Amino acid sequence: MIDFWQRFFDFWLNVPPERIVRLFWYFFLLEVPRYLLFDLVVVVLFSLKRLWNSDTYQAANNQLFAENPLISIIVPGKNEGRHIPKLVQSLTEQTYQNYQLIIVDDGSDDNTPFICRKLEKEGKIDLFLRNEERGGKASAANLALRFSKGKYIVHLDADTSFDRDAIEKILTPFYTDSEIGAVGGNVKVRNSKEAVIASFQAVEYLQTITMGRMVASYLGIYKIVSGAFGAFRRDLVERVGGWDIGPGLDGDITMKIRKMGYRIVFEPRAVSLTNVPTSLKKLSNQRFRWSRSMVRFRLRKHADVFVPDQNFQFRNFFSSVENLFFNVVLDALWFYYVIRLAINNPDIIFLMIVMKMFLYGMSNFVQVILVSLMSERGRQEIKLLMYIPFMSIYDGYYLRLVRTIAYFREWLASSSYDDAWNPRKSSVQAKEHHL
Amino acid sequence: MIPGGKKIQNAGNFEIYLITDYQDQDIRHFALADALVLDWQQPDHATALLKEIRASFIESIYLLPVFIFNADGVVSDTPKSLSDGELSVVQEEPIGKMIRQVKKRREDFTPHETNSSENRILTKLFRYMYTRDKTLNPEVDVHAHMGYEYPLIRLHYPAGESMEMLKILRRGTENDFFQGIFVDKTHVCPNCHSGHLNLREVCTKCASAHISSENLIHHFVCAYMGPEGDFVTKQGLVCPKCNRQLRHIGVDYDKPSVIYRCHDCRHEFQEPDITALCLNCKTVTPVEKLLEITLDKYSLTDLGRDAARTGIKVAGEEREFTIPGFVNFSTFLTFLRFEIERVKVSGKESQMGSVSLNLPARLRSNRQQFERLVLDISDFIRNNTDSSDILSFANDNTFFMIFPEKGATAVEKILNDFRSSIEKLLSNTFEDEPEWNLAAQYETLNAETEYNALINQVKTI
Ligand SMILES: [Zn+2]
Ligand SMILES: [Zn+2]
Ligand SMILES: [Zn+2]
Repeated sequence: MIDFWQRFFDFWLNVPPERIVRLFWYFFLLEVPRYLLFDLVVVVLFSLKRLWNSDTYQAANNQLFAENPLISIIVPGKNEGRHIPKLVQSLTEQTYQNYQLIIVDDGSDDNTPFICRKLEKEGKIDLFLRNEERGGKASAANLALRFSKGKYIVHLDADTSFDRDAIEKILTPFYTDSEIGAVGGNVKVRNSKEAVIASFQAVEYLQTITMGRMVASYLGIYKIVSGAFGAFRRDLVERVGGWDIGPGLDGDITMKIRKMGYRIVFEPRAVSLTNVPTSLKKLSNQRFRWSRSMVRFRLRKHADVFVPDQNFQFRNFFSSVENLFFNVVLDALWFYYVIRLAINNPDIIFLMIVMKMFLYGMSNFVQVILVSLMSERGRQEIKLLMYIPFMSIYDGYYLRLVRTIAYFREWLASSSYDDAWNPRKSSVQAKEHHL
Repeated sequence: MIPGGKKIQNAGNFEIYLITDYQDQDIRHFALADALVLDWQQPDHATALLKEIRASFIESIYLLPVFIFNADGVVSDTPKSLSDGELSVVQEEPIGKMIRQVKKRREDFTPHETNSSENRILTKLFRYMYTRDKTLNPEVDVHAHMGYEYPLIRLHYPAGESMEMLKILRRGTENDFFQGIFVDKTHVCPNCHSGHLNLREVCTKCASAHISSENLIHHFVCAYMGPEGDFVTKQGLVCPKCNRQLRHIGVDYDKPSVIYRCHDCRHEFQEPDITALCLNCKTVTPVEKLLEITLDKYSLTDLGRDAARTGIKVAGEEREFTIPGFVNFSTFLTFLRFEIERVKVSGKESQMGSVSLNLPARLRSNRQQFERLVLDISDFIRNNTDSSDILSFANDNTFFMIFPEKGATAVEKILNDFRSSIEKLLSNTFEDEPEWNLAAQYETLNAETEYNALINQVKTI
């Protein structure tokens, strides 16, 4: 062990810096600029802008409460009954109260209808709609949309809960700028203490959601208003005909609203908490699904953003290219990089792995500190720093592997059409009509 | 001979009468017949007579085989179930068969006395069922308060006392005299126990019945979901989101649920409440709060058949009132027989008197209060009779007295005093009761008196 560290330091201290950069070109040329430097700059700019606009923001907030529009909170889901009482409670605590709550039960086979009918009787749910047979998440959301009466639609996942001011915070941006069509809420991890793997995801959510979407939003390339917590202008949702068959329906509808020329923004201050998978198997399944949908709707359905016709918008093009590049192309490049490294420098590969963990750790460290500084619950989040040294294993190896497998399977076999996530009747139609 | 009845000839040794005239029929005459055939030309009168026969507590009357002669027309369920069958021609064969069976079964019976009116009704019921191998069935009856009726027991309960009636059946089952076999369930108003209910789906918000429903359609290909009305066009069903024609249910669309709309308050909901309006007392009750009643078909168990033969023996139930100075009823009957023998020998006259309380079941339901009342009355009777008089209290209802050589005028006066004093006592105990149904009467015992006839008469009191 001591021998190893001896060798490790001897080696890296004697290597000229340009060789380090050459060996870790992937990290220094791609990841440091994109995820570290860029983030740093944007976060500073974002904070300054927020400070600069604080008067406008306060005025918008006042205007929201002055108008006090009815909003529709819609919650489609299957077998979510056990979460609903907590969700209802979390909503009754909200600072913004003029909402109607519509819950759609998409063919649950547990006691969900029983729980929800009871809450409906007690007046805690305004409308409970149930499909005896599952129709898929999109149809459930569309049904809720059809019976909603609010000016804004707030779409929630049942297993999510909210900070007291979350609804108020997600609505306020609509009053800062009439060009805003949808607002994404922040999603953080509630059960990070339940398992180490949940803690990793807590860090990941901070990086990819809180930080990642803040940056994307600042740059105007924010792509996915998460179904877990997102707000939409109802008129726009109706204009695009609501949600289409998933998976990837969240990104899909956001994309359509962007295509109509509206802005999509992320509001890091509207905070919801969600439970993440605590077993590797469940986590893998979840990520396979996410990744597949990425290929499916970006490469197939919205391929038109790459075509320079009269509807072409540079932002949408850039947004898709960025996403594809950093997820798909870079993943492929990474494998190329690792294989080349293993062939050319087999003697130092282990030294490099450890060094890489160190470099990534440093980068992650800076990111998490940045997020914690800006966060409303920074004190708790700063504790996640202890997981940073191991993040490169979770992030760099495990997630990358899952993602890549999923991309290739979807690309080669269109496997999401057979995904049990959609009911068979919808999948058949989707496949037939090449959706 | 029975007034208003024609004896049917060619009936072998049996006395079978065809009743055609229902004016002034006295069921006591029927004790002499072997069977009756009721002409169904006047269904109301015939039904009333049939009910009166089956309501009697005299064994030779209520067990009498009674057939319905009905050449045309329909007999409703209640009289049908109280009779032994319908005949379209008067023929001796089925009647004789029934007479022989009832006679044979009656040979198994031993005399039975009880001071509990419930046991008295049950024993009677058992004996009726035993002689006929009959089950006790719930009959649908639109005129019945509950909508269903057990006609044989109903005879002993006023229309409003359905729950009391069902309680006695439940007791029979709990004591294993009956085996209940499920027939149906019914729901009644929790307020008045009426079965005449108007059930309707109502708005979950304002309880209005003015609501309508519409199918929800799911168009698979575009995931649009909404009420059927969204899709209706002149060209058929067309999706409002993607403009495609809906062609084939299950392939490109389906109807996974419905939505209700209230025309009064515009509320939308999927599961309407269901409430019941009681047509009798107008109470509105959510269906889940209605009283559920299980209607069983009852048949006698081995224990029930034993009880039919010997009367009900249940520990505690058979406990006699120990009233100081009063003898129990079987002892009283023995005294009565001695007294009749005595007056026959001496050529003198004595009187037997009775006072029946005839209290409705609800006034007897508080057992403690009732027993205290009976003891008070007994005290009064004992204090106003001679020590040579024989006193008894039977069937939870009737005080009996033997007045040896007292004279009819004196006895009549005594009984009148008793009646007015007891009425006063009752009025003090049950302040809200408007009227009483006391019956006081006496029989003179002399050389002419037939013990058996008198006993039969006593039992009907
Ligand atoms: Zn009623
Ligand atoms: Zn209504
Ligand atoms: Zn459609």
